Amino acid sequence: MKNSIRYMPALAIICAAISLNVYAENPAPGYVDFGKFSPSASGGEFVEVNVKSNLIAMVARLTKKEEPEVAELLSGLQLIRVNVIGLTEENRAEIQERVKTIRGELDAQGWESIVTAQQKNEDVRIYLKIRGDEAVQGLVVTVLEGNKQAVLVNIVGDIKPEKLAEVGEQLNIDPLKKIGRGLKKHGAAPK
Amino acid sequence: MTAPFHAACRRGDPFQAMNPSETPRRSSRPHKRLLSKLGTALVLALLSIGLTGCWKMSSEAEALRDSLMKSAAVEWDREIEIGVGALTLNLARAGLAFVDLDLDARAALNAIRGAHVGIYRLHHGRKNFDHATLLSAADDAMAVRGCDRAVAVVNQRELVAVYVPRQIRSTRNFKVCLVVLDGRKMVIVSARNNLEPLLDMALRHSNWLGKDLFADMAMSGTRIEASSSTARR
Repeated sequence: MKNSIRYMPALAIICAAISLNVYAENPAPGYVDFGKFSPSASGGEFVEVNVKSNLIAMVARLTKKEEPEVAELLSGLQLIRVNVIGLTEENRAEIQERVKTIRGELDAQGWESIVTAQQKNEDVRIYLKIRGDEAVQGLVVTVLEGNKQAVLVNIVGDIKPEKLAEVGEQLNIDPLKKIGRGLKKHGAAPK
Repeated sequence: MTAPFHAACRRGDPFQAMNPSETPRRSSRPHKRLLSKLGTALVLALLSIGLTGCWKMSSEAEALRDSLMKSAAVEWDREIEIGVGALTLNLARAGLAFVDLDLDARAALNAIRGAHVGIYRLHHGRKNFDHATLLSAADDAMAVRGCDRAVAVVNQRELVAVYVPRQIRSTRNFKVCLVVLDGRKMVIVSARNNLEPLLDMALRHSNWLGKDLFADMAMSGTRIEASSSTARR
């Protein structure tokens, strides 16, 4: 008995470590690994935003009183990742190829391409990860703006499409308004 | 002569011997002197802690600074390193209470719990830094301290990175560390804030200035298809 009590703390730590490891190896269904991007040596534009669940939850708590719709939208999210990479002579081919590969992987993994927009030099695609007919687990936006820049956005978590448009209207965020309306039109909303 | 007189003389205090009625008042004086000395020592200690703390950076800011300087592999001159803690800020708030400040400025002042700022200049001219290497070094150094990079922006010669704690215990004591680097100067700021007033301020001023890609495309007559693909299992 005494021996088993002595080993309890060690066992508890091992169990916790295993569970953490399992969690790390099994990311959320809506998560997409874009890979690592680095700023270009020639000084092209580079923006990386990586907001995790702890910060999102904190903002959700803080905004609950003033902006309950925003708080409700945020409370279901686990990760918001944005990458903006300026295209230069050095990295253009590589980045364009990576975006193409990401799109291929999303198609292969069952993500629904709900918006495809093409202009002369701009190529936009929006993907959704839908669980059954009920929940949107992830959203990915990929944009190739000609020779200028590439934009990748991944929002992971329980996304409520009807809330996206509302929040966009309230906070006057045009891209959110458009995405939310597009999702509603497509019918990607919980039934 | 009485025995108390002899005892007082032996103690070297003939006055006490001659005036036994003075004894109760005189014995409280050393006590008061001791309290007064302790109080003075405490005030001096607080002042010295406050003053010496003013010229030190927080450990996160130091780690960020050291990692960037090491990976940049150039010589830096320190222009200033200064910190303000709760004591100094409370004094500042008390003083500025009598000044007519803008609402946002007052909210920002009330939100800050403590801050450290370091400004450094390249010893020789300018340099085009390898921002990827700098960010990687900074990420590693801050990860050891339980901080993750939340934002990084690089534009030509300028780099801005913001680090936040992995574990956020309280919104009223939120720590953030940021670095701004151009080709010549580096500024490192570490601050503890109460996020609530800052978020109120942000919400008051919320006005999305991001590029309205879809609106641009709609105006130029871009075709937008809402498509669905069959899920492949």
